[in-house]
Amino acid sequence: MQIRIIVNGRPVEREIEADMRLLDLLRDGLHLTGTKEGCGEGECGACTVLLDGQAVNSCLILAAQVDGKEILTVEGISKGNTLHPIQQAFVEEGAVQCGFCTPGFIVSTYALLKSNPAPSDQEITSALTGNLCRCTGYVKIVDAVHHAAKLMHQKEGRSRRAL
Amino acid sequence: MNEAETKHSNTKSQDLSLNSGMIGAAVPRPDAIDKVRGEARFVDDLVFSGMLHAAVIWSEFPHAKIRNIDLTAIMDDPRVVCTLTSEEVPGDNIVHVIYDDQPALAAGIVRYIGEPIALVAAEDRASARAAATRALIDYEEIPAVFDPEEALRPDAPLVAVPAAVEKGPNLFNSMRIRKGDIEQGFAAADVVVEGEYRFGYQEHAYLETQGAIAVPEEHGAMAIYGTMQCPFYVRSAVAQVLGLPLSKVRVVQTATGGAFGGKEDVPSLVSALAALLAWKTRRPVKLVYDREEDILTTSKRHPAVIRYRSGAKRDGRLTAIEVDFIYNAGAYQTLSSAVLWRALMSAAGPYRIPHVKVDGRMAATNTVPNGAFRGFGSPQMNFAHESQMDLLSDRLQIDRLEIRLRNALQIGDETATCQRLEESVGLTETLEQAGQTVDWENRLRKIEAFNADSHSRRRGLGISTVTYGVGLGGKAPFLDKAGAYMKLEADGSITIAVGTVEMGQGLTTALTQIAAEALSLSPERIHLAPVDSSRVPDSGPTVASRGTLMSGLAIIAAAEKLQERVSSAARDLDIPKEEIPSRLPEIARVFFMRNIDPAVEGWASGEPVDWDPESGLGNVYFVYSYATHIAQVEVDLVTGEVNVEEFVAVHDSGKIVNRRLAAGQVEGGIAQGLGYALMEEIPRQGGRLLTTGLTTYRIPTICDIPLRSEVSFVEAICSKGPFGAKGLGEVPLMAAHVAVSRAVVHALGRPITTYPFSPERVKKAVTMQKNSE
Amino acid sequence: MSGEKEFVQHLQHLKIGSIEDLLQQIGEPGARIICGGTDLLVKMRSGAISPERLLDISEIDALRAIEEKDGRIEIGAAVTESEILASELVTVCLPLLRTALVHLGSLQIRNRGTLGGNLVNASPAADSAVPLLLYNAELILQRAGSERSIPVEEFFRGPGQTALASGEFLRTVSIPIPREGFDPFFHKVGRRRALAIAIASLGALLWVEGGVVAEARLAAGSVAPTAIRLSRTENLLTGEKITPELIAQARELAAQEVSPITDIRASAGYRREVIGDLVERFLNEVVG
Repeated sequence: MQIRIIVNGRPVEREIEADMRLLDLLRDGLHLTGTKEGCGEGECGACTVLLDGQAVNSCLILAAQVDGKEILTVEGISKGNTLHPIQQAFVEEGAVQCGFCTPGFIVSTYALLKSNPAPSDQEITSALTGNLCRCTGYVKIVDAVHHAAKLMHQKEGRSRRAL
Repeated sequence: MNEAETKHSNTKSQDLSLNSGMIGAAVPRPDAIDKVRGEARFVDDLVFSGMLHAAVIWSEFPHAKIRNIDLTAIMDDPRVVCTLTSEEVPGDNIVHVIYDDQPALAAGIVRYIGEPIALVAAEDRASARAAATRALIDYEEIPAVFDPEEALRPDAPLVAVPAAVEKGPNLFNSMRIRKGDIEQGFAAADVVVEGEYRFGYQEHAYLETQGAIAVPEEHGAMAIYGTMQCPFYVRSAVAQVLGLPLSKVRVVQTATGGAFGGKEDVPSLVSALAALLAWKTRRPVKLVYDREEDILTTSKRHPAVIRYRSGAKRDGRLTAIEVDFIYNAGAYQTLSSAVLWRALMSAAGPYRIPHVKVDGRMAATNTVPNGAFRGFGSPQMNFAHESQMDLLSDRLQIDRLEIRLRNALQIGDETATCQRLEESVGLTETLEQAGQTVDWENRLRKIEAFNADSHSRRRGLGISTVTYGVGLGGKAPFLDKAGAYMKLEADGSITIAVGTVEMGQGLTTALTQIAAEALSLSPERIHLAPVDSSRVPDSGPTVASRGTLMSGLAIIAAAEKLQERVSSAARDLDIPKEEIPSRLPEIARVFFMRNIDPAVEGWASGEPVDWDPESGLGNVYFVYSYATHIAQVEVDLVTGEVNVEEFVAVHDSGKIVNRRLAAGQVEGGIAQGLGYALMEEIPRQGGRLLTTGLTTYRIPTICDIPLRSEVSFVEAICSKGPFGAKGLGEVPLMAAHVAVSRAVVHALGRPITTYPFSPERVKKAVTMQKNSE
Repeated sequence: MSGEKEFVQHLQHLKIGSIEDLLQQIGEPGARIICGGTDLLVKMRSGAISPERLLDISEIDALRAIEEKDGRIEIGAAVTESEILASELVTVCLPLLRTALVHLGSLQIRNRGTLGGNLVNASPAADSAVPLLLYNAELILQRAGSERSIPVEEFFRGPGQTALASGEFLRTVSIPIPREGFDPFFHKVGRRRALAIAIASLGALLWVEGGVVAEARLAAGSVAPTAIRLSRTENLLTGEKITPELIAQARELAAQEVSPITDIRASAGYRREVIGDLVERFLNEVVG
């Protein structure tokens, strides 16, 4: 079957089998390998992408289900070579170790900070429950989300002043 | 959350860091940039032209003869390219780890559920996996044994190949320690306490599953790309199954999504299987396990039973310990003998004990072979020795922190293996600092007050203190070596190749800092190349918290050689010494124009260690790390649920190379330890493991960890480590899980001796306590 | 491993635009409704089910509304759990449904998973079942030419089994807004604090008037083949003054009333005991 979607701002048209998962379309079909498969059953969140702005597990969605919708993957977070403030914060706070879960965390954090620019600890942990990390113990990830919120706030302030 | 604090300890040893400020700095990880952008390439992200996908046909019985393998139906699908069984293995059908007992593909007999029997290669992954389900294996089941204690009974069915169990039926190995006179030790004791402690599995649950790609290269050579800790183990294993010389196998480590010991031995098997198909098809072959395969067929932390007796004087001083333990190895040796040895070395804990008798056995059973997991046989022992200390504290009415301080090893003391500690013992400082951080005595009073007021919730404070011998130690000193290759490029940048790997722990960053310090350069000028076995000599495994230590020393050795050449070129150019770093491009240009050799090699060999198997004594490790953790928990007496509220961790790992990374290692160890203590469990029914994914095997989420945790370091400098550093990686888990479980026991006032402390086990203890009141 | 089946070749995925279209397609052999897919894809991948046609109802507007009607809240079967959590109506009128759904899976799951899916899946541990039992929810089931309404209690027939007839689908969950003045309770026992499948869960609504229990509703999950109401314990409490003796009796009775099994998460004995003890905790909280 034919689907048309928007991935990281670009329109994509593909002929797919109805049993293809969104995850496989992204990784194998579009070579967007930043989205990872950690468990295949919606538990670990390494495959998190945004579907029309909402964090979802791409391993539990058929590509056919997203026809006509908009997808954002980790590759679409930064513009060119400049890191997005969330990515910058994860680097600066030491929130990255092996890095396999990192893209999922970045995408989930992106969704969180868009709807809640200054989240509390509790709001952060509740938004990131569906992303498992086995290396960091999460402490620096929470730090990074707070730090990202500040960086984004500053950036917004700057661009507002520029206007 | 505080940034990790660092305190210099006043231990008697010199500070070797000279330094330009690079050592100890919180340099950001160079690999983090790729990772946050999703551009780091893990093995499943790589594609080679013409690449096939592999699937494995696994044994469905724990112990069975294979009467027939019928793979004809597999070939029905035109997308399937070939199958492969043990008969076609061109070299030895062996995956060598320590003993040659494990086949790559089962030949005539299977010994555990999940043992590989045959392989399929197909044009795509789904076809390969679908084809594998069409295999028809005709099994004849034979008696099996699953429990390690049952396996050691005389009438138990025999599991292993005879050569692997020379010490007795189903006995992979036994080892012992005899120090002093055990009878005299217990006779001198005023009190004796006893305990029996039981543990199930712990699964690594690295987020990236096992995987490898085998790529045929020119002249009959084979390249392996994969997620791994030990490229040189993989190289040996692949060379052996293919019948190739080591020089024709090249192993490249890809970005590795967590390992924790789980990628020490298993990648040898995964890579060998991929290599067999690549050899047969002459095409690249990718084999990536799904989560279910990874949980069911790969190594885990050993289930164990430990029986422990301790004797002490009225003032709390230990006089003797007697420890007897059995670990469940599973069906093949893999690393179990090495795990047994480290368990033995950990039995006494970080305490001064004059009379020691320890006996350890490693039993073969028809279950998945167990292997390395952060702590390597120690964590089980850590819970046992700390539980014993708490029992003594109760019996003698000596505070738990105090009794540990009274027995803590110090410089000049002898360990349980009669090794005199010459330097770098920060144990007492870790105890004192941890106690001060929580305000130990006041905290205990507050908890008592809370508990007196509360009907259905109770708080508890747990303390644990541990020691860890860094490096591989006296059992396998020949493995303790590392090489580094260093090249001054024509533009003044530096390329370094090492043979130990980054797997998330931060090795690349730490080694870059060490190189930067040794060369007085900024880290941006230094690039650590991906690990490729053809670039450096065999550098041993990246295990035992040895990566920073050994490769760091090799880098320092290389840097010294390069510095000599650079200095001499600088003299020719009249460049003063202090300007060398900034004018390195100029100097490098001279190297290039005048054909000066710009490449050097560094080599590090472990300090001499020894161990006598008869007595179990010796100078077994050249240096030890130490840690004390304190955890506060709240237990729901109605449900048995445990909430870890607060955590304090103090480590002595010598000089800390990068504080932020080190704190991250500790925090990660706390989470893994919390999981081991409270929630991680694999129920087993006969030879079948009952958790098949991360939905049923539960690891801690972001909601389960205390955000109020404090991590700090006392730095007892080690003269033999790079700039005074020792090892860190494994120690946090060892201390953390015990602090959590002992806190639960403190809250309940009643011991639990079986892991994990699930709500059900906790609730049972609550009920028993109620009934006894 | 061995359980792995290849996905059905030539699987069809059909986006359904309206209830009328759905009614036409639903009787076809091999047809199966998909909405969020969070349970269905796991089952398809494990080989537990292998549908041939997936009828995607996620964009049928008639199934996507939350409305207040005649003292009832009506939630369409295709409303996601996240949408329910964001609903002002639910927050105000059905706080226990909200509490239970906050604990359901992760944000990623709640963004896709639907109330209808959670119910039709009929897991004994379904997080939405306990509050819906407490609220005396009715399920509106529709098939070509007819519809019926049944109490949620009658909908569950066993693990994975529901009262849905062939050609029938769950359209709406209709929940009477309870009268005010109750004490609420909800506790889900899990091995970890999030992303947990319930080992056992207990929910309760209790109205105390003039010192005696006017009405008691107790429901439990993961302790019987389906989520259940503890009706014997409810009867025991109704019309009585809450005394320590009554609490002890209620605890005993609740523990007897459930019929748990032993599985990889916990033993039957533990589940029984914990339900009794949670009833005791709740009643103690009520009397303060």
